[in-house]
This record gives sequence, structure tokens and C-alpha cells, in this order.
Amino acid sequence: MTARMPTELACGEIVQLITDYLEGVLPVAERTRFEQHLVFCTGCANYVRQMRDLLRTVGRIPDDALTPAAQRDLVQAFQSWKAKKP
Amino acid sequence: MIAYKFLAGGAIAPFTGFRWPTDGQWVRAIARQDGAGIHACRAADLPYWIGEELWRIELADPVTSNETQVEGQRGRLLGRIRAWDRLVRREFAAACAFRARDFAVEALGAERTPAQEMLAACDLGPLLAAARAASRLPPFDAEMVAYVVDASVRALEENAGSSSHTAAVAAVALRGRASAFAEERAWQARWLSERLALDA
Repeated sequence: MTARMPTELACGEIVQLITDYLEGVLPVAERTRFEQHLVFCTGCANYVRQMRDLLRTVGRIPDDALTPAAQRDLVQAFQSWKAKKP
Repeated sequence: MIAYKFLAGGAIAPFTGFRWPTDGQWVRAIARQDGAGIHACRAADLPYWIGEELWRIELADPVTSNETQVEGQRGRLLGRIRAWDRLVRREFAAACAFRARDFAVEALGAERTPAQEMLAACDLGPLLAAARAASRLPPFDAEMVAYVVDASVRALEENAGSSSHTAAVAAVALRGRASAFAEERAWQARWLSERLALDA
């Protein structure tokens, strides 16, 4: 966790906003604050980089790369994970 | 407008991953929506966007100004500012750690032992050791010394973006007003402009 000004985004907010940021739908002012946070917070900069890499990698996987059994296992894993959430 | 732009190594935009052409070729922003243009810095904006490489950039009119950056729809790199190298980045990071030290000394009072020990440090290692050795301080003094530890650690990691930010936060803590943040950023911008012989 990095020391910050009250007007700056906290690391937890970076986690909440990352999807909107990567999809390019954050309002301008929010995006500027998001990117300024990445300049001084190495942890969040690494996190955003990893998410970008993940999206790039997953985006290269063709739809038919998984066997039906693997797809079924994944769906089940997500369903049971969702069911466990409070 | 001639401005400045920080990029990652290899002239890569740090947030988009775009590799800038370094042969002077014009680049047009992909989207025309507000805020999606090509961003650059005035000299005063530099401390907010510290990066590995610093370039001079030309933005075609119209250029809009925001609080900490300028924006145009077309831009081209004019040349790299070679003076902003690893050595100067380290120097800047250290200067910011010592600014945090000065704020802590002001808070503690220069006559007290922890302040004396931090004042005696002439390099980052001894400064960090002196700050870490300070113990049993009242909460506010401990907070100010913690900024010295943080800024020194970041400077030793050669993370100038982080050490400069910590120094600005320390300034706010000491002065007790938010405007001290921009004042410290202004001090940092002056340091960079003078050290890199930039136009204001």
C-alpha cells in the first residue's frame, strides 16, 4: 500500500476500476488519476501489466482449444465458485 | 506546441504499449473522444509522469491543457533528451528522498538526535539506516520519518516516480494543507528543468 493524497486513487480502487480502464470507458479525469497512480505505485503498475498480458494471452486461445470435458469442468468450477460467494 | 513526453524503454507508451516511431513520423490519435488524444507534459507536469525515457514532442494544434498534461490529436517525437538517463533518474530520486528528510527534520526539530542522525547522512544508505533507527517517536514524528524510509527505499530501487510522490505527500503532512503537494511538485519540476536544461 502506498502513501497517497486523499484525492488520489487508493490501490483498492485501482482493482475496482481496472476493467473499465482496460475497456477504455473510464471518464477522462478518472483515467488520469488511474494512470498517475501507476506512475508512483509499482505494485499496481505490475498488476495492470499482468492483467494486460493475461487478456492478450487469453485472447489468442481459439474457441475449440478446449476439449468438451475441460469446458465442462471449467463451467462447473465457475458455477461452484459463484455459488460460494456471499 | 513543443512539449515533453515520458516513455518506457524503447520509446513505448507506458500505458497503451504503443511503440512510437522515432524518425519524426506524425502519429494520429486513434479515437477522437475527449481525453483519448496524444498526451504530453509541460515542464511543470513532468514530476507527475516520471518514466524511463524523456522525449521532446511536437503536438499539432489544437492543443488542450489539463491540470497535469496537454493533449493533441496528432504528435511526433522530435528527439530523445539524453540527459535524462539512469544516473540522473537516480539523482532525482535521491534528491526527493532528501527533501522528505528535510521535511522530517523540520517536524522533529533539528536539535533532536534522530534529526541529527538523518542530517549527518550524505547518501541514501546511511539516510535509510538513520531513519530506520529512529524509534519511540510521537505519532506525527514517526509518520514523517516513515516518509523518509519510504522515499529512501524507493530511491534505492531507482523508482523516481515513487520517491518524488512520497516527498510531495510528506510536504502535505508537514504543512497541513493540500496545496503543499503542488508546491513540492513545482520544486521537483524546477529541479528537472535545471538539471536537464529544459525550456520552461
